[in-house]
Amino acid sequence: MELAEWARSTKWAPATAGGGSQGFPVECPAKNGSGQLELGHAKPLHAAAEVIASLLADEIGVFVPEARLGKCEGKSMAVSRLWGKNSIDIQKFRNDFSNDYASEPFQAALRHASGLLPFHAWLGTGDLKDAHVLVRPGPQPFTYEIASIDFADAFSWDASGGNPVAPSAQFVLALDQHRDPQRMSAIIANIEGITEQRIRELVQQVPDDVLPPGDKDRYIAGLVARKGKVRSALKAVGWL
Amino acid sequence: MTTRRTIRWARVEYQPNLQHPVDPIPLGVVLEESRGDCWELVIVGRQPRGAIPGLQLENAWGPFKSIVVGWAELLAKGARELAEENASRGPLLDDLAQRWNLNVYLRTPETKVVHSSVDLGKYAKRWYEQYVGEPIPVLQSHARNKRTSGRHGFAHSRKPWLSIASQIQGVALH
Repeated sequence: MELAEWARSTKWAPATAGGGSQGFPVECPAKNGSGQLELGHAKPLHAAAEVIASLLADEIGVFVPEARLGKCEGKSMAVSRLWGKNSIDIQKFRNDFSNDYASEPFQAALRHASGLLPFHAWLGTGDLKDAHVLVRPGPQPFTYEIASIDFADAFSWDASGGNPVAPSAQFVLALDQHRDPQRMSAIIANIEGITEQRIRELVQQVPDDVLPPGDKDRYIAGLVARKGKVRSALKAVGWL
Repeated sequence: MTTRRTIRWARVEYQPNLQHPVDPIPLGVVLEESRGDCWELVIVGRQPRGAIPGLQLENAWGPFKSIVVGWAELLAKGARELAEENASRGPLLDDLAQRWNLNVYLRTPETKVVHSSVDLGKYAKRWYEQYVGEPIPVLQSHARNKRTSGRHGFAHSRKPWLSIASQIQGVALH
């Protein structure tokens, strides 16, 4: 598989680009031949986890910025596309735009985003911080979409796959008023419905030199074993 | 009398499109200086008034617009809140840089050593002019606050940009 070539970007140079993993901003020419650039956030560490989480999110129907393998300075790494033309992390949004945060459209977006909770439980994402939740404008004016970033420590289970646990109740998407049992249940149904074959296809998209076969087997076994346990994990904490 | 001083500072930039980036637009500078337990932070910059060509604000709305047209006030508010969260803390610039990292962002703070007793606000004005490439109205003198943070700012209309300056001072409590 030929990987897209990215270069360090000077078009966007924040002191700390969001998402951790010692990331840095990168750019490459847009594939559509428009002459535009595309901007990404390169993540040299835990590249496989970032890419597989993004592929699974697409499959399950939750918002995670697209992350794909790319090359920068001769090394393979995950490159996560920026989340929208405009975006704000939810900490800043809550702090600086409290009226908008309290608005019904934003609260509706938060309830919709609670579908990320079972997804995180399935993947075993441990590093759930409010700063890793991004907000962008929705397709209609005055609507919002909310995504999670940073899956560096997901898939950290042993060969058994372990047991999913509900994310911390302090996490912004897990607050009482933000959880939507119907939305979470619908996402759990998607997780339960994904086949082992499909999981295998998605995990196999990552080359062996980025994720060795033994780790792929561990990822796949864990995802398969855990997908049927997410519902009970969330029921156990009274979220369903 | 000249004294040796260490000033930390960061440029503030705006990237109008995080998916298909254009050349970033310089907005201002943030300077910070510690002297013993005292610290001072100065923000000098320009805020767009209306739809300036190239800023891609024509279709922006709500918070996604406000964070650009009101960035300096929001940055000053954030600095005051950081200072108030923990009165024993000192400099804030690195924390601010962590919190501003999307369309409007702080570049990595840098350190400059100067030998002068010139007011920090004057350095801010000078470095702003070097960075943005246009002058800003002369800073007015500021009353000094001790112990708690306070803001003393002014705004001067220069269409199509609004020039902004804020100063926050504090004393780290032990």
